[in-house]
Amino acid sequence: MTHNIEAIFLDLGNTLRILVKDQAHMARARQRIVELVGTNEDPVTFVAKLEERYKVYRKWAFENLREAPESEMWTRWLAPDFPAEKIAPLGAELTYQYRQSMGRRVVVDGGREVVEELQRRGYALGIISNLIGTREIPEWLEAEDYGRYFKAVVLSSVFGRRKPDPSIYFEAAKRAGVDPSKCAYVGDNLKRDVTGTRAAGFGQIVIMISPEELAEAEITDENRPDVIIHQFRQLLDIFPGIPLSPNGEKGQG
Amino acid sequence: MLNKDIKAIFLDVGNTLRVVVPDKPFMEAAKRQLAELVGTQMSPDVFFELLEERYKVLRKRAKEELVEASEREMWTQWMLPDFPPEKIGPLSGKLTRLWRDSDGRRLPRPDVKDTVLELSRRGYLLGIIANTITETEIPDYLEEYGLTDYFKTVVLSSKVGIRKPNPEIYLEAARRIGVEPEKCVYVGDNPVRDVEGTRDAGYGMMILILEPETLKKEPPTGEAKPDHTIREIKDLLEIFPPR
Repeated sequence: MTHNIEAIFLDLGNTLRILVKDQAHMARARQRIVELVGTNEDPVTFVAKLEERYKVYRKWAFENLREAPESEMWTRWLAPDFPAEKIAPLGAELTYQYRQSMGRRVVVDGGREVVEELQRRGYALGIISNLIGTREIPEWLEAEDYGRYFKAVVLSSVFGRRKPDPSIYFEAAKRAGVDPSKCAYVGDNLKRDVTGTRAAGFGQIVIMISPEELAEAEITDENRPDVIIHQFRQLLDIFPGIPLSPNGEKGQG
Repeated sequence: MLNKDIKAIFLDVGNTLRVVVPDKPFMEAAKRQLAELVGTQMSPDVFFELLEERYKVLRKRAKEELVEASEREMWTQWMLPDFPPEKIGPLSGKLTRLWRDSDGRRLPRPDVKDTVLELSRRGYLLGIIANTITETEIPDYLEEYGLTDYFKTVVLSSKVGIRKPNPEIYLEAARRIGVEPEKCVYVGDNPVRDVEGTRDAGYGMMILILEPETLKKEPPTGEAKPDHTIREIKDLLEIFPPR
């Protein structure tokens, strides 16, 4: 049993939330993007062009394990052909809409119940996520009342460094006030979520992927997580609660 | 086809020589032992839920591609890739047995031993062709019931890597027993796969044992027709006279 874990950090994309291809939602976001930028191009064509440019940005981000500030992402990578002084102030809104143009993000089945229960069991909870945009997550935490569950929310777009750079995990552990060895991480990416988390000294790594993905995955001694689960609610079985210390106090045992 | 021309009789095992009988305490014990052997942190129930999801993917591939993983491959690559292979590999035989036991106790049909002995006495060569994930369970079963010496050839998908109805597995069995396929017969319970595969391999005859559980899951399509149907193993004695 996992007796010494005191904090659990969740990934967002494909872990706590999944992307739903809501066509109307995506079309509205595309429309908003062309309006903001002030182009006459067809929204579909324009966003397709952004996607091509985004790939170049993403390559840079992956290679450098960095996340650029939103304004810079737009002026330097996504819309360099528009006046920087116009685009830069719109960076946050554009990034928000660009993310929406990929689809609507919804919490996984049973997500809230699991998070609530883990909190009830005494774990400090947090989020560590690679994503562009500074607005979306704080707004979502507020709007859907998820903020109260998470003691530490570390986003690459705000922190500047990306997973698997160990510094992002250290930062999260520090903010939660828990030693990394007593932290667990739950993510979905065998390529990126294991090595960095290990390097940061996290006590446990949980990967959530479908059995089909697992069958395709290549697992080596380097990227082998501690546990692989297929459904979010299975976290409840891995984290039974913080054991009582000898004096009967929960937590710092 | 004169039944006397048949020289070799191959039998299926699951639902033909043996049937699965649910036995709750036995199944629960197997689950618990398996979880303990692996040393999972999870409860046996949740752990099994994960394994079942992974097993489904493996089964799908096995059925689509007519291949069977070895026990070692099954556990290190498909079922427990999140555990070090050097730990899981050596346990894979044991794990497969416990995995099988977790869905029930396998018991021989009551008339198997007498029928096997009599067919052998009548001069037929006997063999086994079975799709199975374990490499040891069937040989152990034959040994336990004193049947080892009566089956000259035992071809298991887990050992040869291919599954019925791939004709190759029937051909391999015929080669091993040293009898031309047209003088071989196959006795199995699957009204589609066992009939078609046997036919494709050029076997002289196919006998279907009517097994209510199998027929419920996979009803006959009408296209594949066996040469005979039987209800009990001892009915084989009516079909195969002394040679």
